[in-house]
Amino acid sequence: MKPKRTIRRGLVFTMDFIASLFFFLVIILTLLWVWGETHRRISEYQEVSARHRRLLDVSTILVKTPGNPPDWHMHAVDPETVKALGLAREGNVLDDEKLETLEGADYMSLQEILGFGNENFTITVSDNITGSPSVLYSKGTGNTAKERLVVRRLALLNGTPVELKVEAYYNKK
Amino acid sequence: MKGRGFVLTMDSMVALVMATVFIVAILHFASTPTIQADDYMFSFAGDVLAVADKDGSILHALSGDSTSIGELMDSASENMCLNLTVTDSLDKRVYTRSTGCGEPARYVTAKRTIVNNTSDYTAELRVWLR
Repeated sequence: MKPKRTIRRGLVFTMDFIASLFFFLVIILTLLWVWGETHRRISEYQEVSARHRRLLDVSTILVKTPGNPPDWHMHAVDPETVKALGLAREGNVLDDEKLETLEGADYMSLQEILGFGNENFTITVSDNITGSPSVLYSKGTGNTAKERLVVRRLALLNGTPVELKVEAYYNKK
Repeated sequence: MKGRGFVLTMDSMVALVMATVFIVAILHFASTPTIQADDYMFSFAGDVLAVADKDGSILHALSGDSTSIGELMDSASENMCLNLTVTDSLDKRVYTRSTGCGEPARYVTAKRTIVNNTSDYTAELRVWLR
């Protein structure tokens, strides 16, 4: 008569298995963190890049074109009638009459025409471009937003080189 | 006899090296986000050339007075370097001016044709970040 066989099963946690499990988890968790961080940075980069691109486009329209219609400064500045806001008589030559109208225009209307949405902005024209600049024309006010993007452009105003600075303010999400 | 061992096999070593390389590479790229300033530099270079053309700074420089072109170039941000080269219609270099930075690895170039009564010139402005 054969003796009864008893089957015993065991689970062995060897040292190398535990060590490899530890390394594996560390690597997986690190990769997850890197993935999330990279995703966050790429989104942030795209957002800032798009804002920068838009600010540059706005500054180009201001400094290179007379706007649409070209005589927008002769009428009330209204988003219904002004399609694009340009400050130039010709490329890189600013029109002082348009700058005066810009200073007196309604801020919210300008915000809409320039495409800033709910972001605040300032537009400043100053001379003495190499030394301490003195402001000739200014529109908009600085605010408490944490982030700021600035674009500086050069142009002529009444034969003198001036700097047109466009600043946009926003808060990071 | 109580013997304990730790085995580092070849495949685990290879896997560990590859994982480390991947992590370091991802961390490196993730930690160096740069806003591409090429568009901005190109616009600024175009502005400098347009203003220098319209107020006569380049022609003044060709006749020996570099004051106004110097002021225009010096108006750039401190981290921006500029190098202006003017060539005549025979492609001969007639004027150069630099803001005093070293040679760049990567730069943006804007060009503009300057028309004079007697001849025409090509102004080339290279801009790069310090």
